[in-house]
Amino acid sequence: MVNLVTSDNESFTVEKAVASRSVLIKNMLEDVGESDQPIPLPNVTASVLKKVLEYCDHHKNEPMPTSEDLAAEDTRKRTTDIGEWDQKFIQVDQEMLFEIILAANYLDIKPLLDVGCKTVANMIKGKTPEEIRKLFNIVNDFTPEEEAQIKKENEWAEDR
Amino acid sequence: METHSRSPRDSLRNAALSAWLESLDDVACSIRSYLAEASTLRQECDPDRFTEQESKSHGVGAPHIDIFSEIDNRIEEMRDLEVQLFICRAAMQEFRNRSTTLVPINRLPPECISQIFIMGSIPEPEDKDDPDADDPREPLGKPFYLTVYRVCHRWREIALNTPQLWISIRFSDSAPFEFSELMLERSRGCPLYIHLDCLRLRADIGTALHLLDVSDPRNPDSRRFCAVVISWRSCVRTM
Repeated sequence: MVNLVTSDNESFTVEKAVASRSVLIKNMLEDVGESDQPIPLPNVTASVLKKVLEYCDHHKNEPMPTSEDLAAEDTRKRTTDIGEWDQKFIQVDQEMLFEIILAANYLDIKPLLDVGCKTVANMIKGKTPEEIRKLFNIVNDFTPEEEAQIKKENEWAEDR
Repeated sequence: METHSRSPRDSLRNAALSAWLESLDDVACSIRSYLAEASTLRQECDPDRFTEQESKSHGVGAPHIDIFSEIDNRIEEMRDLEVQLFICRAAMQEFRNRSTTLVPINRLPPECISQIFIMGSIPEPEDKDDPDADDPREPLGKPFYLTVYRVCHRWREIALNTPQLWISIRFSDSAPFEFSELMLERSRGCPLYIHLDCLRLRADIGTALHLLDVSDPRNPDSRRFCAVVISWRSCVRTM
């Protein structure tokens, strides 16, 4: 078993197979060898780690993605549909969704990072820039030069 | 304004905020006064309100020629002020967008946003049983990159620094191919998917091929062509 300690000082004891879905933790375990020492995760809070571990536990028996799978050329193959369980798992509010992506990025859990990024991409797809701004509470902050450049490029693109 | 000074740095920040709010109020005051004075000037100098005597002795508009010239001289200055205000507003809006409390998505580092863009720009295969499902296709509707790079400054910067967004280049317009050229540049060293629509290109096909320089093996771009699709009428040929 592996003991993980979150940024808000909560401890989680999980199976090695679950914790090792994270390449970061897997490498740490390999580096330190067999040890009862808790692994500090200063960038992850308890509520987020709980969610991430739920994902890791569900996928613990699946083969780890190989370096070939993760090669940039294979991005297309990795971006197929999100599985049914993953879709339900990722039905969280925006705050939690971004926290999961951040944690997956930090803990190096590529499949979870993909699920998170794909979910955000799906939220954006089919929307206008104004609708996207509204969705994420972004304001239009382009300078007059940028506005002019975008307008010009848009006209070029429309002509194609 | 309530202030909770916790450190000298916080005090400086609060002072900067107070000074900015004060100057914004000053700008608002100045603009109100400026608008009122401009309105007064237009009323007082309205050529339609000249007395008959003024019109007879000087001709219509004559007594105001200096006023009109003065306004004319100041038009550029007025435009500059508007531009400066616009630039300042854009800078403050960009600054505001950096708040991860107001804009939680901006907690994500550029590499994650970039990954989101790449995933969004890949069209879903129409038929999973189709053996060619992985082939590059033009997505239906507006391309993803054309939407995301118009959202905000940060997203635009990230999109411009994500070469994979610009790899599917379609030549179906007429020369000069400004946008295609831009995409070639932005795709940097990434493998390219080129679509040449011969029916629509007609005489410009030569210009398109010249831009791609496919015949020259020394051209670094020609070494990164992943697929070149040439279509004419209903036929499509993949090279």
